[in-house]
Amino acid sequence: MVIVYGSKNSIKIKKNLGVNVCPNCGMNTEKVLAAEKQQFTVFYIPIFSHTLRKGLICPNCGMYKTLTNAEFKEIANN
Amino acid sequence: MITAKKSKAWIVLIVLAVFFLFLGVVAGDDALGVMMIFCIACLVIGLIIMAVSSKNFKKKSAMLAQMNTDGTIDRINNGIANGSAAYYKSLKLALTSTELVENSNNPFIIKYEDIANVYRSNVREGKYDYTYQYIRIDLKNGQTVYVATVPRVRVPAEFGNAIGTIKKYTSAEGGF
Repeated sequence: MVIVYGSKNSIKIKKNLGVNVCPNCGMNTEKVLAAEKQQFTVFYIPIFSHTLRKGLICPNCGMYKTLTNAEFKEIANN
Repeated sequence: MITAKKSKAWIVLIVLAVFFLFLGVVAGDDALGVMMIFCIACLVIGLIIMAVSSKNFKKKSAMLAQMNTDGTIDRINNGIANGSAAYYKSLKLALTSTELVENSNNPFIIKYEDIANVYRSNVREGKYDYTYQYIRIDLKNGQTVYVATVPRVRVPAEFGNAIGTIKKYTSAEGGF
């Protein structure tokens, strides 16, 4: 029997943080607080997921500024 | 060097096909059927890769010949040979002091004076890419070009060097 398994990544946006200049691309973009998750799939059905990293993302260039759990919670609650 | 090269991956698959055939013959009737399936699969994939690489080689050779009508490619290759230009093999990217050359299957030349912005990007055409990372080049005419595609989990050290070099030359040439 063949078991089709794999993984799928996704980004969950938690909060928009307003317009900022990105240090990587230099564009004025709306930075977002987000978590990148990886889902383990069997026959393309997600079984479980785990968080790969949490941080601030620039929507223009995709640059990640990784945050610790405490920093992430603090920004999310403010 | 900026040249068209043929992929040799098909040779490995043809050797594998012969190996599976040999294994099947040695093992006898029991395993011959299974080994024949592996052998045929390797043979078919090998032939497809050979056909595609041959087609890409011809296409790239024609494009390079067209770009070399004024001796540009020869000049860049001489620059790489004598050290005045840099060639990043893992990025398929050549950088001279006035232009950059993308040496992929669709080679092209960008002059630094036409560049408005250069940075590393995980976003391609508005979509976040979970697998690859690129050097994104915004041109003054509003076009966006992506060069040096590398896997996001294995970014070579050359990647950062190439961005730095492009930025240095671009600012020197009045790009930004």
